[in-house]
Amino acid sequence: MVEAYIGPLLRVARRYLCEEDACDAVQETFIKVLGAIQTFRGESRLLTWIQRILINQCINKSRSQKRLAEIPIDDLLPSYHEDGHRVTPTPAWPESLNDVVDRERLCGLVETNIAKLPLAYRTVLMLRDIEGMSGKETAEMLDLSVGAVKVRLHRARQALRALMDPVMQGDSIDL
Amino acid sequence: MTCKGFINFLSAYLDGELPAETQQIFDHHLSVCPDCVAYMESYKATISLLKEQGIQADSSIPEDIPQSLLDAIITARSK
Repeated sequence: MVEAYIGPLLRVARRYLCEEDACDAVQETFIKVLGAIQTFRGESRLLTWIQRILINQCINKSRSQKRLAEIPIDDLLPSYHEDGHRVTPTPAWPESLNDVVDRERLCGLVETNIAKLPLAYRTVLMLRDIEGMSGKETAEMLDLSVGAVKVRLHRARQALRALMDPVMQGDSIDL
Repeated sequence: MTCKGFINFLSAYLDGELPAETQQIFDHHLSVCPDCVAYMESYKATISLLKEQGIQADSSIPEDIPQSLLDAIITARSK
């Protein structure tokens, strides 16, 4: 069982943490799981249950990590004139994103830009849009209200959109 | 309806969470504001990129699992 689960769990941990911390998080998760396996009530798949424990572990580790690359969320949200019109208009993105950059590179750019978001927004974005958790599950995991999750998710998506904008305009694809 | 109002509630609009009357006001704004259309399309594309990130990650199991991690977990299990 252990060997089969390490791969998928390590993949999840790498989304949140650097390599060394991701390995530590997986190891610590397995130790927790081995000590608490009798509390697993079979309400979800075993892997899902272990993943929840791992993600909590990753979030706790992320909180204690100093991150230098984070950009304040307000710097990434649209700004408006007094009449409610946007200061900077939005150029349209190409219909096919493959026209801009190849798929693998695009994934790398998305990952790099997610890492620039403040932790409070990054975790909500990852749990909701990448891990596919519901608003309620995300709220429970982060000890937030469902409303707060919605607000953070919307802001995080807008911020990531702003970070991806230069790439989509073909201005820069530097990682 | 201003662009600011539209964008602030864009997520709720896309999720169909707005009352029917408000939804219509948003629809009308989109019909007269190409800038908000472009913003909405790029916002939707951002969500697609994120979902794809999850699908890609799910379909690729890493092969480079450090031996030290495997050993540590197997040791912990055998205790």
